[in-house]
Amino acid sequence: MSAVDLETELALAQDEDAARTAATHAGATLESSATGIYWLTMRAPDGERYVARIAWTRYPDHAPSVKFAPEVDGPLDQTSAWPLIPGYRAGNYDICQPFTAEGQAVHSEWGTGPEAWPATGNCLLWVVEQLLHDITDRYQGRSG
Amino acid sequence: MVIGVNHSAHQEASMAASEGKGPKPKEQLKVTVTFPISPEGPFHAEKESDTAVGAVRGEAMTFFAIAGDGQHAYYLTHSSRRVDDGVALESVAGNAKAVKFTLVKELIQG
Repeated sequence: MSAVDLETELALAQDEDAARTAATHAGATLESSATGIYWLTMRAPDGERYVARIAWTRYPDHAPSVKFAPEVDGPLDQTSAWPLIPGYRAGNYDICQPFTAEGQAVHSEWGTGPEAWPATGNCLLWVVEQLLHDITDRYQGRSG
Repeated sequence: MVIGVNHSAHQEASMAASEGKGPKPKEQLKVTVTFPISPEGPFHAEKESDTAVGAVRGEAMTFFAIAGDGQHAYYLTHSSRRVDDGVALESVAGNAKAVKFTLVKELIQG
């Protein structure tokens, strides 16, 4: 039985082709291990490989949980799986930015105003492109 | 007696271009800008190849009804990499006749 509702499942099905294409174009891969769970495998400029898990509970209404694992379906509690990028907090296993559920939880003031979760357009593509951009342009190395 | 040939400036430019001399003629490039979280879009335009990326960003922000503010940085990325406003489109496009960007909104965290 799926962990997400039918609306989420249908909305993700509509948006995931564009997100997969964007990932492929950037030399990354986007795969799904269960409905609402995506794994984005990316290469940093230094050749290091990173795997981000993007987990949706209700799409597109709520921001996804974004964490890193050593491999697809891997554990989410290893700091060495995390890249060093401003706002990415390996020690807390979270990304303190408006495009994640963790960031929205830490900053309750983001719930309204310009940092509020948009819930419009292709949110899956947006999150994938944010991660790809961060690993390409803002990357500083691997977390210890 | 001097027998001259009265070429117009335009003719001379055409001749120079056809001989591989002179400035490279401006090309039109098809430009697309996506902003995934917008219900609108994508933004499409045709621009001369020497147009600055910043001009495209500005038009795209207007299209997506985004006003700049002091809390966010807005810029375009191409292949996930940030492209500065001063860069000409032809530098990004290379030999391609079309170029696609993504508009990024970045929170400036203090």
